[in-house]
Amino acid sequence: MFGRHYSIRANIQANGWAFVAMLLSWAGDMLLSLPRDWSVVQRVVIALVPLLFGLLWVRSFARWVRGMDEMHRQLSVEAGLFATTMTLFVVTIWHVLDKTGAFQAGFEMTKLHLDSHFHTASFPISLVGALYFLGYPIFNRRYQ
Amino acid sequence: MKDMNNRPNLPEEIGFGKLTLWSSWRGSMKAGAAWMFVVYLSDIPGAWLLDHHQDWPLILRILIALVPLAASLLYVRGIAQWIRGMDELHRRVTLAAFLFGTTLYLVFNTGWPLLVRAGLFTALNLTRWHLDQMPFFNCTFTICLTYIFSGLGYSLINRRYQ
Repeated sequence: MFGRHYSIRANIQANGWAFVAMLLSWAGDMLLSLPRDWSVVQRVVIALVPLLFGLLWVRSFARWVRGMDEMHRQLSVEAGLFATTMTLFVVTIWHVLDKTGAFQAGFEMTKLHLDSHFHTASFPISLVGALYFLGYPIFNRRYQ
Repeated sequence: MKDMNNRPNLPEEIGFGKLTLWSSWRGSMKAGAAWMFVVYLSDIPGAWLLDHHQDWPLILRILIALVPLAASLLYVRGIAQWIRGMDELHRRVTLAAFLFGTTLYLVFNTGWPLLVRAGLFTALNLTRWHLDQMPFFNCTFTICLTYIFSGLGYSLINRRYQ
């Protein structure tokens, strides 16, 4: 991934929209938290814009994978499936722990607001990205 | 006879694509269906217990909540082993179909709570059908919808090869 073939240009081509989506998600989260009288349409637009950029990321990532050779494409699909599946697990576990009251108990000890992070689009997007980078070398080991 | 026993797994065994003679309980069981039923049987009763016994100790509540998740992991392991038993072409199409399914589910999983937060369902009076309470973080719902999306993805991707 970050070896001698690493290209910042290719990375931006494949993942540029993900960074935009995460930034817009943080901004949107802050805007929706403000005590202002937004109309429903404005609130829906603020909420959905990061998700639309997330879809653009999926599109550019799919194009990037389609431009690979057969073996790298296979590895990328496997790493991508690993990343999305594990993200679903993490997001579900996060929600379950929140529901059971584990974060409330943890907050009393650590003063960390762990319950508030999965409500934004940036959380699953960054998690998918991080797990892809974790999964790729794992699947790549089979071919070395 | 030996060749018949060692034949590669087929996506149709779990109902992807056309439902054919290959669709079978045996094939589904190979693909982790037993763990899927464990998820179904532990998830909804577990959620009921958590809702109705909020005074139970935290450790017990966490254990009850994690049982369906552990079974889901075993279900995913079963699916992965089943896919590994396919021939090259079916494996490629099925992996792409599951990637399509999980990605689409993640889009819904992320977007729906944002729409609830934006107040769309309240404004359109869709809360009477409880659309604001879609259980996107429920294991049963996740498995069912991911399966439907993956089946849809399989049909779309498979068309390229026909």
